Amino acid sequence: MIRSAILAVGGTGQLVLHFYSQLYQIGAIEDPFHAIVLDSDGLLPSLETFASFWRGVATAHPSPPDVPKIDYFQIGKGLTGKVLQAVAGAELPSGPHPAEAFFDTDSLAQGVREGLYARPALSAVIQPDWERLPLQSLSGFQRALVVGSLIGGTGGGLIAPLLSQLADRVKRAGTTEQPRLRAVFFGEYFQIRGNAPVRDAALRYPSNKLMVARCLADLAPDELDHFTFIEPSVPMERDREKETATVHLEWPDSNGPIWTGISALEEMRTNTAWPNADNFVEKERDDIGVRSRGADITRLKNRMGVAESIAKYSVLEKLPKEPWNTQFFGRGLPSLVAAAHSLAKRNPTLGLSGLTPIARLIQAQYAQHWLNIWKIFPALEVQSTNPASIRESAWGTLRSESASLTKSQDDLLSGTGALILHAALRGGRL
Amino acid sequence: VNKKSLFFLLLLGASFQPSYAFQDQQTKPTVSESCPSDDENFAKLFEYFAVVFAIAGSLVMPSAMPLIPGIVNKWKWTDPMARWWRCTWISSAVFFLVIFLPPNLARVTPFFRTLGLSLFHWLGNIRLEYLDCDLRAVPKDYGFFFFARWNPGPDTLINYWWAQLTVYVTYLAIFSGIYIGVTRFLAFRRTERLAA
Repeated sequence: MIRSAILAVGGTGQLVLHFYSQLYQIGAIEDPFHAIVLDSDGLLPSLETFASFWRGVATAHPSPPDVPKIDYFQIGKGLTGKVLQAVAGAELPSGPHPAEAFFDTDSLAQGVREGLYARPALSAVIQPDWERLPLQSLSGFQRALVVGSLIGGTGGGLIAPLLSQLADRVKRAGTTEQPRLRAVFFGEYFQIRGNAPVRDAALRYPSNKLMVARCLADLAPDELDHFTFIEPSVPMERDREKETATVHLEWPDSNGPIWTGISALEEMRTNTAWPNADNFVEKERDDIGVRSRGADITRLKNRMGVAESIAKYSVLEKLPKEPWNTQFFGRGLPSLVAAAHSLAKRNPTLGLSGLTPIARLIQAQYAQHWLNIWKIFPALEVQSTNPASIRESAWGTLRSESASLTKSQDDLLSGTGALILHAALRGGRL
Repeated sequence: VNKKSLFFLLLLGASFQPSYAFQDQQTKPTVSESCPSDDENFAKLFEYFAVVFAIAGSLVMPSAMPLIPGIVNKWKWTDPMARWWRCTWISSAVFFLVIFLPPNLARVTPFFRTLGLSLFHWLGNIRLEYLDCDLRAVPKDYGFFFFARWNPGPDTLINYWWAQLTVYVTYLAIFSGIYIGVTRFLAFRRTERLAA
C-alpha cells in the first residue's frame, strides 16, 4: 500500500479530487489517501459529502487509517472586507495610498472572501497560516502530491510556497523512508462557457502562468521529485455552475485535461520506476498514460448496481427475517448486521434492542448515505445486480472495540450503514 | 380482474347452483349400501389433498425453494414472505382447479359428470354413482377434519362446497402460521449466531 497525502489547490485541485475520490470509492484506485484542500471558495459539496461519509466509515472500519480523509484548509480565514483593507490594515483615507502602487484597482476592490481569484500576486497579502496546515509531519506517507493550476489565483499564488512548506515537512519526516514530493500542474486548460468572470482572462491567465512557472523553475525545492504539466492544444469548456453544484457531474472526456490530470495524479502516486533528476526541467514527466475511462465507467456501473440493489431490495432489513440469508447473501453481510446487533446487546446504554429493528435502522442509514453519494456520481442508467454479487463481495468486519460505536446509537447505526455502502461500492477492496 | 380470474369466478358461480335441480333431471336419489362408504372415502381423500396442498404450498415449497439451483440468484425469492405468498397462491390455484372444482362441476353439470369425479374414483375407491346418493336419512359417524369428524349437514359431503373450502383454508392458515413462526425463529437464531 502506498500512503499518499494529496494537496488539492484551488478550484482545479478540487475538481480533480472530486473525480479521483469517486474512482477510489468504486475501487478503481486501490489505496486510501489523506487529501487537504487549499482554497478560499469553500469545499465542493461533493468533497464535503465524501469527507463526512468517510468519517462515518472510519468509526466502524476495522482499520480507520485505511479510510481516506479530506481536510479543508481555508485560505484567508479570518479576513473580512476588501483586499484594500487587508493590505492597509484599516479603512483608507481618501486620496492616494502606497498599496495602489502594487495592486491594480480591481484587485484592491475585490472582497477577500473571493480569495485570490485569478490574481496570484494577492497571495502576498492573503497568506495562509502554514502552521495550521494539517499533517505537520509526513511520517508514514510515501507520497506528497500537489495538484492545482498555475493560471488561477489560489494555485498560482500558493503552489510555490506550498511546495516549500511540504519540502520542510518531507525533511522532517525522518530518514528511513522520506515521502516523494510530486506535482500535477495545469496550464491554460479551459475556457469558461458564457460570461467569463475574469474580464481580462486572455491576458491575465498566460501572464499568471509565466510568472508562476518562472518562480517554480527558480524556487521549487530540491525535494520536488517529479511533476507533469497539463495544457491541451484545445482548451476544454467549463461550466462553473455545474462544477460548483457537483450534482451528477459527468465524468470528463478521456482525452480532456481533467481526465489526464486524474491519470497523472494516479501515475505520480504509483510510479516507482522513474529515475531521479536534479534539474527542474528534467523532473517533468510527459510519458503519462491515460487511464481507461471505459473500464472505469463499467466498474462504476457494476458497483453502483450492487449499492443500488441493497437499497432497492432492502437487503439489510431482510437479513434477520431470512433463514436462508447465508445462501442468498453469503456470510459477510449478515455477519456485519449481526455484529452491530451483538454490540448493541452488550451495551444496553445505547438504547437499541432487537435484531429486526436494528437491521431496519441500519437499512435507513444506508439508504441515506447512498442517496448522498449517488448524487455525486454521474447520472447513469444502473441495472440492479443479482444476489450473487452480494455473496461475492468482501464486507469486512465491524470494529467492535471502537469507543464511539459503543457509546453512541447514531455512530453505531450510521457507521455500520456507511461501512456497508463503502464495501458495496469498493467491491471488496476495503 | 383478468380473464383467468373471471373464468374461475364463473366456474365457482356455477357450483353455487343447488344440486337438487341436477339430480331431479337425472335419476332419483338412491341410498345403496355403498353410498356411506363413498361419502366417507370422498371426505377422507378430499382432506388428504387439502392437507398435502396446504403443507406443500405454505410450508414445504417456500422453505425448501432456496435449495433449488439458481433460485438464490433471483431477487423475487429473497423474501420469505414473498416466497410464501407466491407458493401459496400457486398451490391454491392448482388445488382449486384440480381437486376442488372438478367434483363440484360434476355435481352441477352433466358435461363434467364422469370427468369431474374421475380423479376421486381412480384414487379413492369412490363410485361414479356417488353423485346420485341421498344420505339425509343415514346417520354419519365420519366427517371433515379427521378425528374431529366435522359434519356440515345431513347431505352427502360433496354437496357442501363451502365446507370443503373451509377445510382447505383452515389447513392453509395452520401451516402458514407454522411457516411464519419457524422462519422467524430460525432466521433470528442463524443471524444471531453469525456474530459469534
